[in-house]
Amino acid sequence: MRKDVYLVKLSALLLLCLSVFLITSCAPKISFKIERPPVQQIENINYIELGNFQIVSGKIKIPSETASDSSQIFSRTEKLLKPAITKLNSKKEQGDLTADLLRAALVHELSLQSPYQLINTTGKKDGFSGVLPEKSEIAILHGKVKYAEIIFESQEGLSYFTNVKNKGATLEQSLLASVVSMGAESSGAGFVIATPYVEQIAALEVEFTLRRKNDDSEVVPSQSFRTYFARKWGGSGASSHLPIMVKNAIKQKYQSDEDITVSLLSKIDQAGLYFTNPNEYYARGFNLRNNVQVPQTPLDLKIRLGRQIARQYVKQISPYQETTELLVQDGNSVAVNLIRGNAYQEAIAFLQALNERTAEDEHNLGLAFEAGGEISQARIHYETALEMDNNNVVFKAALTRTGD
Amino acid sequence: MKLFNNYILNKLFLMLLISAFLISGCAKATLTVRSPAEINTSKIKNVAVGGFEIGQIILKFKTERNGVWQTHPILLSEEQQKSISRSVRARVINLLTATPYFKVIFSDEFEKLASDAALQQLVSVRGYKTKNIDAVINGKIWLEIERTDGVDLSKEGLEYFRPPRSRNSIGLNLTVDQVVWWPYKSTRGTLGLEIKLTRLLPTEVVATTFETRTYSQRIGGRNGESFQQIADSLTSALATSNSSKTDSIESSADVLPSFEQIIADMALSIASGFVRRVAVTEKVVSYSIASGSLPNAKILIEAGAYDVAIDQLQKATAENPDPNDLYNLGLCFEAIGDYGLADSTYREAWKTDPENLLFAQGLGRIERLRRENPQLQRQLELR
Repeated sequence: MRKDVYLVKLSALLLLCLSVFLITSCAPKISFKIERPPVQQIENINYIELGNFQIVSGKIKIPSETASDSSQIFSRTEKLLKPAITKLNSKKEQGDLTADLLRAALVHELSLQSPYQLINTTGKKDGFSGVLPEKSEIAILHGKVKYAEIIFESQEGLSYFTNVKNKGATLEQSLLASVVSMGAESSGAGFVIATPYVEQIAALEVEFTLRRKNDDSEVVPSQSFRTYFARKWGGSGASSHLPIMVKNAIKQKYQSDEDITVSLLSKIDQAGLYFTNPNEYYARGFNLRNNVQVPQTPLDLKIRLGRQIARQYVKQISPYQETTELLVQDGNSVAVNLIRGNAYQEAIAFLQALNERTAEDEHNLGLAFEAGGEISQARIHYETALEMDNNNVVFKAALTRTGD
Repeated sequence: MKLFNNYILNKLFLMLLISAFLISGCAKATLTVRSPAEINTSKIKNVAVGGFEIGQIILKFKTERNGVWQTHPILLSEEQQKSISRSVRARVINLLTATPYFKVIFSDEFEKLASDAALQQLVSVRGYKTKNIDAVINGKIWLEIERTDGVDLSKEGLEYFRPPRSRNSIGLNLTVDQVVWWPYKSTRGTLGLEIKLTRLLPTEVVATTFETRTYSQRIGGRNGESFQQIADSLTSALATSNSSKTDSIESSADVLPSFEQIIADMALSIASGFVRRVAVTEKVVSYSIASGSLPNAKILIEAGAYDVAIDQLQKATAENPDPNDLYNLGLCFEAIGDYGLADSTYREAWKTDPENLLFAQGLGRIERLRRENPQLQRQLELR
């Protein structure tokens, strides 16, 4: 019986994979790798030095509750486990491990993403001496880190209502039986058995300051970033040490990357990589097993939150790249081809050399600029396009996308 | 029986992959191209490897029985911690020596230094004795591995069937619910590794990367989601198809690996990532080949004989500049990593036939490489 299910699933998967490969491999993809300018304006800084990152005590605000529809449906069955978590406190005594990991994550992002040259990456005072660049071009990055981590390894009494089902029963009868046993279990009838679970709750808040080395003035205003994590392995899915609304808010805002449905396709891509680019296969860690049922280690937790914050902050002070899908308009076919082939500079040169440009061409020119990270140039051409064709939705969307 | 199932499943997946590749080929040829380093490491040839500082090393055992959890950390002496850090360091050295671009200088002068700060100090006062070194690599490791021995709990329906005794009765076919305890063993490892490449003259931090890898495996216990099983079987199907890169220790989905093996696997992955960042690596890509006037060229390109193909195509295009031949010539240049020539050849082809998407794609690939690696030009000229 089970084997049959297996086979059916397998063949479904087979078909799915084949169709995905057929669709993706031959159709021209128009995804753009776009360079975005930093969120904050930074002037005349070429070097960054890592200053002090240390843990400070204090309270971290619990995320504001968002009422979602799904949580209300299940709100009757939810259960708050004891002790309930109502506040998250950072303690100075926990040592600087988290701050050090955050520093490492920041240095990584800055080293790979940003145009800045890093001078001192240890945060220690005695950095490199010798020939140092002009002090007014150096900015020092400091951070005050608050970190709270609560891990429960415990058990909760869950009720198991067992019954005997007659296989000869009709569908309605067996449905009724399972509804009865589910109802009984949620009301606590049946055997109550200690069921183990692990729940991890963590929060990280960092206040960054970026100061010029020569006069200690702020290059950008100091900013705070916060991120959270909450997850439970084992036990009942409806109970938690956090109020369910808070937990939902965390899941929605900070853990959207954990969606499992995406990963099946990426698994197949990964396997393909093993044949085409073994270096890459190992480099991306696809040789390592990964079982989602195993709770993560506290170190995972710290690194995960540290990385999230580091990425957010680096976007503030450094240009970054992202991949998006944009619509190329039916303009001059040569230019369209160039854009579709990712040759943006070429497309810009070609379109600018044209004597007459249609509204679509103007839009495509803007697109090529946007893809190259020149947002202000892109806007000029989107505006021209909209002037020529007042009601075009795509042009309007492009303007809003590149607006301030 | 389970073994048999797994075996069939693995074979099926391999077949699936192969067929998928055949189909997705659609008149494309696979080329081995050189991909540039992400970080400009030109002029760096001789590298010394410093010590790997320890941020944290924790190994622990956990048990869970009837909902009571117990944790037993393994106490590691300083020497044991250092030896773990050295084994991670050895992985990085292994892969660095395997690339033709770096020469690893063996000197324990840098290794003996206690920390990153001490290294910075030494480098900035130029107090080192070892000569002919362009750069130093050092690092910091954070490691946590735990192994859990616990029990899953679930309600299962056990089937009970009694065949009919007479023609009139229908027999008995019942499902009896039972609470079942499923013992399991699981392991989870996390390795964070910060690797820093410092140029000595002029003193500058060329690159720092901080990479994390995790490893998690679980044996026994209640069967996971079917998705997890498929994913697992896929990984193990590939893990068993041998590769020169991994250690030849057989890994089985039914046995938890040792702490050492987990560390080694994670370190291998991070080290490959680092090498890919700092050295020119090769990768296999599939690009379309244009059907030009030289049928030979296509075969040569598919076979990877780029130099011969270049020779023939150059002769042919000198007489008759067919854009398809020019494109194929560009493809060969791209494959051997001569991006400047590839660019100009693609452009020639594109100018003859600007409506051709294929030629535009060639231009776009080079432009994209340039955009993502501004140092590319210089880097390849110098090598």
